[in-house]
Amino acid sequence: MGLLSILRKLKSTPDQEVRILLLGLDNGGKTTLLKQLASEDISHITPTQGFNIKSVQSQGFKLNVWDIGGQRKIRPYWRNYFENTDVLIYVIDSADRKRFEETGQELAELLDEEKLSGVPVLIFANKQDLLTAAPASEIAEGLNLHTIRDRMWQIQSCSALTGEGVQEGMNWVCKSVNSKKKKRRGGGGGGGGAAGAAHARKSTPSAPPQSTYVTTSVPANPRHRPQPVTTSNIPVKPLFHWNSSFFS
Amino acid sequence: MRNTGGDSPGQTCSEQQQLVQKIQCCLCDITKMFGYVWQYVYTSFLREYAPDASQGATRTTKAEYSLRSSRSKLLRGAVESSKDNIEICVDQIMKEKKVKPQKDPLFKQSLHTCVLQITGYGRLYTSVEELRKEVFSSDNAEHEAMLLKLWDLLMPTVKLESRLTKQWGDIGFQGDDPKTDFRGMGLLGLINLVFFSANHTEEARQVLSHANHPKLGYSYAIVGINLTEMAYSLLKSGALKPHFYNTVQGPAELQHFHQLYCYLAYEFDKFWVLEEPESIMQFNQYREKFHNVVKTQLQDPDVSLTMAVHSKN
Repeated sequence: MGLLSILRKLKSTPDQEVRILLLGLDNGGKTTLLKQLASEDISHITPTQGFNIKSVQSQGFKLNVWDIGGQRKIRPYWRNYFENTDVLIYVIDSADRKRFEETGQELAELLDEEKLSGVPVLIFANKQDLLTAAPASEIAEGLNLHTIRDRMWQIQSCSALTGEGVQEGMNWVCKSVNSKKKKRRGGGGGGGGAAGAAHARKSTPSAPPQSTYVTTSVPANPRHRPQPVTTSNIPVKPLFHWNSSFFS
Repeated sequence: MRNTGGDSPGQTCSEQQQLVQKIQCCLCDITKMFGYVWQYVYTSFLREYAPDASQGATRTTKAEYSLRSSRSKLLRGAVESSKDNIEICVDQIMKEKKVKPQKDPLFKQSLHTCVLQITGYGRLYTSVEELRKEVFSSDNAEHEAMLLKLWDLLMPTVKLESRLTKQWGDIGFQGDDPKTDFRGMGLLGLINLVFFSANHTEEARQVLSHANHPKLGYSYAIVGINLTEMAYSLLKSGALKPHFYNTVQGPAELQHFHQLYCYLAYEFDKFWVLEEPESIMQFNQYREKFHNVVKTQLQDPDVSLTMAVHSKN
């Protein structure tokens, strides 16, 4: 799960720098996730004032993960970190239902940002170790993720605290980085080139998004079984009020 | 030793040398290399206990080193002895090392102080760790009262409209409910914030007013929690030993740790204002710079991190 193992998956594209941006509301678990990725102690974490960055370099390849503080006061600074982002990871506290609307609005605004246009987004439905956590499928529905049509996206349930689900999410990040680089190099990567990018949108802009929902079981929460959720069995009832015009 | 006779200073000195030699002889079964190391350590250990020897961190640090690297299980165990056992422990060390209390009355007192300071540091860490592990809980009336007290101390003229309110942002919490901001520092973070506001109210409010500066500002409470983490990790690494050995003539207690936090909160603010960072996004960069300043200060054996409050006049 560490940054090094992620690097190994990415090494097919040498001499590259991959920039991953971690965003989300305060107390979502961004710093815990970052420290998990760097295999660091997660027991003394304090609220992030400003930002944290972790970098790993190997064989001419560099992975930079930027973790920007989530408090409202510093959200205006988020945009200073958008440039050259390869993948956006958006972290949600799945147990903080009172703020689902707020987190949805922030995400919608991010997806509207010009500098982030087309950037693949992974949504971590974090804190699945908590009994009160909403499952990823509910969050996906509440956020109207299925309306995202301009980029690859994925929602992954996880617990940054236990590490559960983090690897799965990062695997998707690698796939989307690889497919994006291939596209950039050779116009969509012919033949099996897109093998690692099953969820990538192919050429035509009108094509429907191919993303799937993936949930990972977290034993602490008996409500969450390891059953993959697809668009067909997501409950239709929205969890909270959502203004879908953000995506239009 | 009696048979060497006499009480004149010159003879006492030679008696001491004889004592050292005697002890060195006892140690000749150690391998040669270890023998040399031990000779140096032990003689310096004894020297430090001479009546006029320096006090504070220099003495206690040497004593601690000598005890920890001793071949004797008794001496090594002394650094972990419990509060009630220290008296006995000191007597045992003196017996083992054949130091006569009548000969050098100050020796016992000095060794006692050292062992108190050394063991006190370990106990302080345990107490601090307990507070850190205690999670802030809204169901705990004491925790809630402390939080409200913090508000009243910092904002005496403004009433908190409700328990969940954006007003918490005015003293530098992130959202409507401060409880999610304590995180890895638990109750320790809150206690430090309250201690600073209660014991140095004027300074705390001054720091808060700087933190609320529209351009140079930062989030008072969460930076405070972050500085609690700094104090905690300095304590855990042992870096605070010289500070406590110099400033507390006995075991360091929780209040001394809270006092150190006050120093960090007050000094960090001065540092921040002086450095004029571009924005709050540079926080970690300047925090690291400040951290290095503190760590450098702690390298000085005479270090004493006490708040230098500006005179009101």
